[in-house]
Amino acid sequence: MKTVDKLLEWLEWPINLLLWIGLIAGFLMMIHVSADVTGRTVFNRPFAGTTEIVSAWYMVAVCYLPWAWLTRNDNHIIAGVFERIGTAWFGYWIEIAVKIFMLVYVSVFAWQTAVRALQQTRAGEVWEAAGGFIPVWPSRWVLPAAAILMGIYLVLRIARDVGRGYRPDQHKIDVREGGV
Amino acid sequence: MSTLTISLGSLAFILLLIGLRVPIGVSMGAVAFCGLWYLRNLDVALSVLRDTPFVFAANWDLSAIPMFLLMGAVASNSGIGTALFRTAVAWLGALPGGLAVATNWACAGFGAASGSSIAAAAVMARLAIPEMLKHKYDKGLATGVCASGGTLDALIPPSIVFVIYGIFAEVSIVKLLLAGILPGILTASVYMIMIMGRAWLNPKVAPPIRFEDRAALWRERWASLGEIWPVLVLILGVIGGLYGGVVTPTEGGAAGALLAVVIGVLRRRLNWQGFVDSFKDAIGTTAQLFFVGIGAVIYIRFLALAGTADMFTQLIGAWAVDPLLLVIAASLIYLVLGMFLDPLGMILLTIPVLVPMFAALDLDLVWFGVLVVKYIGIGLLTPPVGFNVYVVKNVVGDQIPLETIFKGCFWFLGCEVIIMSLLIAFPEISLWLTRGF
Repeated sequence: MKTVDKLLEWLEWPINLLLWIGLIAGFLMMIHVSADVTGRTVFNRPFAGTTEIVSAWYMVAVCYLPWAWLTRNDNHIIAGVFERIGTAWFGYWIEIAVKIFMLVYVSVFAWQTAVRALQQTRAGEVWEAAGGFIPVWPSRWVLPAAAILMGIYLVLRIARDVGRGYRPDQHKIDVREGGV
Repeated sequence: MSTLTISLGSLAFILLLIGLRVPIGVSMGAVAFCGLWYLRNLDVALSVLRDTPFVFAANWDLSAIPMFLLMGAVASNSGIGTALFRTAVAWLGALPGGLAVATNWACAGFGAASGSSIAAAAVMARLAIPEMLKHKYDKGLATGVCASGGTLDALIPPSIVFVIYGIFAEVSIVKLLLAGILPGILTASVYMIMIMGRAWLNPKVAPPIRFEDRAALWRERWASLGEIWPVLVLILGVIGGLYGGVVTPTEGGAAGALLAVVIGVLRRRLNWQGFVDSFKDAIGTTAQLFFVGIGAVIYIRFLALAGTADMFTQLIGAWAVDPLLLVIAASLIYLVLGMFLDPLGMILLTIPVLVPMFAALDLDLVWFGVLVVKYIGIGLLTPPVGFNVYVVKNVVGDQIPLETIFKGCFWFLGCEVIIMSLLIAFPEISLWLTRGF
């Protein structure tokens, strides 16, 4: 169990790294779009390629890079009903089964998005914007990178939870304040 | 297998997985993947998963979501909620049920800076409930007004729910954002009348607050207005910019977020930790929403391939003589789903099915969007999974039982019967501000 705990501890570093890249992308998006609006409305000079850069770079980073961080914090949107009816022991096993299910989903996701990223990298994917070209292919790798990290985290969490066994004090229904 | 069986069967599977605590995004994505595999083959299913996620996220219109969330998070971390509550108490505190009325309007004001109902409920619960309990307000009223008032944020722009609805229903987001303003004000007004009526009939529910020094009260009132100018700036900047056609939702959101940061820093209300927390809140929630969104887009592709939209359009043609029947049917669906699902799950599960039906009957999809957002608000208050109620419960801890909060919300749900009847009977309430766009 100590090895798994250590690996989970080590995983904090890449999880936080990807999160921070996402936060910086969000910050740059705010500044870039605001500067473009100001340039357009005040000086009649919009920044070329804002729409494309925001869409292909910032948005992809913001939407995917925090996935492992969300999983680490159990922050995915859920609305469980049956575990409120069943016993805590039932809830514990449901949680492990759900994590395995998520792992399968995210693995297929990582595999397929990596296949597409490789194809687009080989093709040197670009988007045309304001008379020039913006490279988009590096952004394609964000998806498999985020999904792989989330998958690794899930593997370790499943190993830790199964290894520790059922503990009544650890199973409770939590309430998050995120969402819309 | 018939289209109807496939469509309803997939929906049943998704609900089963959601009930088992599988994240909503995984439930929708996995069922859609299996459905595509069943309808066509494994290659088709894999190719949808290969292409959809990048195309979905690399979208200019959807970039309004992180920017609106950021604006709300910065506003929340710079103490705008506190300023709004103080101002509302100064101006409305003397009315019957004054603190609850003030909380209600502070929620509406907070809605102009934030797009998240759940965030509004959490912020107002922390500020207002201790104050109301100190003045011996009924616990149900004190908690119910925070949970219910939070739902106003989904109606008053900027609203994340409207952006999501607009993208998936292919309706103008600007029109939707403007359409929410009057229903939001109507909702807050009906809530206020109910609170004042209850407090007037039974003062024990909300004992009146005495302001002995009238001159001091007026000084406080004028002084409090100086505290809420950032909200007015944000309203003018974002809503005014959208209404004037100067900015797109993304641009309004980005400029609003930057403005909120600058105001927060200049007023020394936003420190480094608050700044980082705001970004973590906004970007984390964006990733959370897109995780669900990808599943939903794959599910929509699956339903399209199964021919669900065409089937429902034909069904409607066969039996829907009166559009009101469809509205009532949709209302019932949302009321039931709202008891179990979160707002995003509700929208993304129902839009692919209901929007084609409304479109087939030539009903206005902006008006329907307002109704959907209202039903989502109601779903945040109804047991057993009323998200806003749980958020308020999280704030009050063991001090107030969950049943008391739900009971407090029932008064507001009663108001919703009147509000929804008005919105259904008079679509112009929703559409008037959108004329000319």
